[in-house]
Amino acid sequence: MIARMLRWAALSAALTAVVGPVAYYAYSRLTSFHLDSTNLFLAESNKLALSPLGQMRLVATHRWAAPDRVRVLTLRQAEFGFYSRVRFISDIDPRLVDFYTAATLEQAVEVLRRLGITHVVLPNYPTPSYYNSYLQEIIGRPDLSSELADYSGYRLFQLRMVESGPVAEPRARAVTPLRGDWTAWRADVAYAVPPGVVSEEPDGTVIRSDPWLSGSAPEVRLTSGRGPVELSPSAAVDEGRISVGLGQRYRLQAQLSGSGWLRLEVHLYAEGEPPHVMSVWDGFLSPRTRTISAPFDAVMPARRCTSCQSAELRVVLRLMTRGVVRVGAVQLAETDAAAGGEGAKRSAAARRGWALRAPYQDMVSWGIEPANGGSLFLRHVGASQIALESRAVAVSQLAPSLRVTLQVRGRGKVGIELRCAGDERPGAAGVPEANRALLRTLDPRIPQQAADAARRPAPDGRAHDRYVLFPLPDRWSTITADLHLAECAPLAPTALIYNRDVLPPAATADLAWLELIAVRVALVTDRDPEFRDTAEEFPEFEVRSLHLEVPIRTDEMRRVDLLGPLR
Amino acid sequence: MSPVAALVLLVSFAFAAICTYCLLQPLVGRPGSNATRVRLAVVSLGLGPLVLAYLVTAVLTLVPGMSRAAIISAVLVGLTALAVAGTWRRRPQLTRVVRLTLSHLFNARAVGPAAVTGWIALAFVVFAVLLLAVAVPLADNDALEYAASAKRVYEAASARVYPFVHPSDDDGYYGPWSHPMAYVALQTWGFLVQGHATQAGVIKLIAPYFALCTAAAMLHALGGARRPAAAWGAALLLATPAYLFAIVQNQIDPMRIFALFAACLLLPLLLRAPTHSLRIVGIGAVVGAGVFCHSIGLLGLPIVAGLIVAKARANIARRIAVAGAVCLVALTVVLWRLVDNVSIFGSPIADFGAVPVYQIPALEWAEYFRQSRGIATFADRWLAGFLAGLTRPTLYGVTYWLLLAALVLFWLRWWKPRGLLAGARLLWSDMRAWSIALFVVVLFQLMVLASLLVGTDAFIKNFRYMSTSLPFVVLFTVSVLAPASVRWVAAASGRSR
Repeated sequence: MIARMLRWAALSAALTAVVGPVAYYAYSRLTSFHLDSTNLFLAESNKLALSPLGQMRLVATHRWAAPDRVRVLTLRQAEFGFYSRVRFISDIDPRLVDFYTAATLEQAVEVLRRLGITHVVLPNYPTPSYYNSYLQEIIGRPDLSSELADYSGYRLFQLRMVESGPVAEPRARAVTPLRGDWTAWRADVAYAVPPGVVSEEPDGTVIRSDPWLSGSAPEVRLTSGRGPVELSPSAAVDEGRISVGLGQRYRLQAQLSGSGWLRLEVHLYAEGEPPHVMSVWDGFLSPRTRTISAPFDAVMPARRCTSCQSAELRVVLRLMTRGVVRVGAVQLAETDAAAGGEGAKRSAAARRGWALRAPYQDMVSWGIEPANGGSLFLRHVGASQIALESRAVAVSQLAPSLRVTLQVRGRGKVGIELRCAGDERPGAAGVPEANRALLRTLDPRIPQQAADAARRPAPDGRAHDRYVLFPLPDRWSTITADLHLAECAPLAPTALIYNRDVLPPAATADLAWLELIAVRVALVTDRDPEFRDTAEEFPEFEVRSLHLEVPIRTDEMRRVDLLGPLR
Repeated sequence: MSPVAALVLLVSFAFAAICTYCLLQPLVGRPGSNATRVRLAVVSLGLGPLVLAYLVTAVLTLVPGMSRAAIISAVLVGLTALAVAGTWRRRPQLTRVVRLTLSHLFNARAVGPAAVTGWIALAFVVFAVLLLAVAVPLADNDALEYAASAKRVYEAASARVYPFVHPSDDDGYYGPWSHPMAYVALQTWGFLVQGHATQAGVIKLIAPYFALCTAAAMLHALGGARRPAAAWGAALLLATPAYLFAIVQNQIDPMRIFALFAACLLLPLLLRAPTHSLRIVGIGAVVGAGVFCHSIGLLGLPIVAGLIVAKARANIARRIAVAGAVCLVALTVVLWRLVDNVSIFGSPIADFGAVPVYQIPALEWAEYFRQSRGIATFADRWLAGFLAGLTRPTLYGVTYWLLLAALVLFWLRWWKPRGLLAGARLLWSDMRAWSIALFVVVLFQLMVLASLLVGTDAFIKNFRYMSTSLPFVVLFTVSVLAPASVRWVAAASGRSR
């Protein structure tokens, strides 16, 4: 009897050993494409649009503005070769030999210009054709390229030089050598430095990772300055700390040699913010001593510290595989160019109190575009609901309605709503979920025939509670909407509300605190029920002016400029 | 994928298999036994589509630019002509062969618990493979690049556009591939069948088809459905992670691995060919099918040559001559590709040397390839490379550990009782499937060993090379372990008492 049970158990174990890993693999492969019983047998193109894989999302992107004028330089050809609807050129194409052998940046740019390349696609792994060529310089400089999308590390850039003239090299204003302490640690044993990992040698600091089995190499990190990398240099009492001006472009120059996959990062620390990490170089080293010269913009999408002018900086070297890194001179050069990349646009918007609420931040491009006199823009790819929330404005709860006036253009549909700004202190009640997304837009004066089509009654069926998603005009138009106030919790005097506009003392004089609530204006783009993954259905808009009229006395209104600087 | 197109593709494969059976049957000597017929039929299941691919390549190379209907008709006429040529002297008795083969592969007669669980495991693994093939869109680098090549061959209706070394302004696809075209040609056939190349569609079925053919060949080599362990062998092969990844992700390898497995299974039959030249042409063509699949298929040449030298019945000089002639015939199968490669790349097989960008010193590609491979230390080469089967369970599961157990059992039960030398002599010339499998496994590991001693990383740089011998590992392992374990299980269930 026991023998029989034992043998059945052995058979079941054998069955599990064979079937188990297959089941696990099948399950993980299906989930990696977001496939389940509801969509398993959809058409293939729909599944590609659903796939969360970065390279697939890149190809499923229909945001190629004028496909006949686009030519993508792709460092991963496979998806473009089979699925793409745009013209492309592979990074190992013989026509690019001149690009890789160009003596100067001008010559390299000229080759790209001659080939008519408008976009660049980078994969999420390092490739020599990127990190050993001028491509790295071109991608790093916002005056030459701008990032359009980042899908799990697969990034799409638009080149700017197609229309521009010669490539001016920004001059270095001030050069700061990084001296003093370096801190090394192994990523798997936090801040412990096992012997043999780091050594000081005549030609500089050396870190090494040389286990007997390459596959088991732990990541070794070296950071400038003292103390744990989670802390800013000043918090770690580092005397040789370096500050950078936010909104300025810098260039990190490092003399490196050795072997192994190295990731060079810059971490920025502003007061009260978690460190902002930027990868500035990513590639395999060789015994040849090279001077990496990586441009980067000192910008951080700060949420709390909207008035910070400078940040502290650490340089972090991450040796990802087995290898040796010899670190020679490292210096930081401040250039005379202002930051201009996507990050700068986002941080300009953040400094004016705007924040993005989106499930997938990397699918959204937004910020303040300096070119059009400081307009707020949003473009996104994907079918999810996202919102741009303004600063919090304190208003009286007794006000009948608030008026929002905006100048807007774009395509797709957008909604305007008022949202309660919650107390963000730890342990505070916050905003009840029901009030977080109050969709109370009342009768915006927008092109009437289009608005009617988009209106839907609210679930409770009340006449004035309407969720209005109005079609965006393609020319600049002024839209005025009277919005009903949300039922928000009264504002506590000590409440912590990020990006809050402070009322002038005169305005608050005769208002009791208990009557005040804090609200934000939100611009919402919603999932279109008819979404079919085509370019026209991704909303995008640009807002030139946006004012909220707040009653401060019975007969007096104050206009708050939501695109102006925060007070 | 359209179910109709999928069905048409599978019917075309079945038709090609029947034609290939007709073509091969005069090559296997006197009207064979039922066992011979079954082996030929099982192997033809996979060799058929390879013949189809060869005809597609030939038609698209010789007469480029024909209409879809013309290409399909030309290929079908070609297949029929081959079948007629094969049946000229000998009637194939097809219905009997089909009945025999189905019964051999699926009619288990009496089933015990070991067989039942084995069939459950096999059914589940086959279901998972098919589900992944049908449901998941084509999304892996290698698979997409093959499909991108096939798409262009399909759109130009010409195989002369291959390889893609002159990217243009309109189409920037750059594919300096020097591999023979089997997989690309089959994908092109898939596109021809479904009538478009905008989505992958039916071409996702090709790799699973060859995997299932290999599984069927494994069932057969282990004695068919009558043997309780046969289903276990097929399931173990399909469930070995490296092979599963090959089916679902890389997609080219099941085809070339099948070709080598088929060549080794057919070898004993083809060695009995009626004439000397038929023998050489037959074996050479089957080995050549493996080279036609992929350049790595060249590994099949030393393996089959080794088998001929070891196991054929003739004097040693003649055996070596036959082996050499077989290799020449195999290369002749892909001669057009080799000549074309010389004219395009300057060498018959082009690897990284064919890409000008890889030659630019400033980019340091060599350093990148060397370092990203992660083979630097002694332990990397020998422990993670040579002994990968034992040290990398995420790639090879328990398969190689079972092989180790099988080797020990084999030594104790079979070899030691016969004596070291006598056993070796028996083994050397034995023609049974498990013995061929053992020979191939040992020869392959010796080739890996030699490559490591010479100092190249060619065999260990990725798991695709190592998985070449996987069906042979499984065949030998299950052959040796099965009788003892089946007896043990049957004793427990009370059937043998």
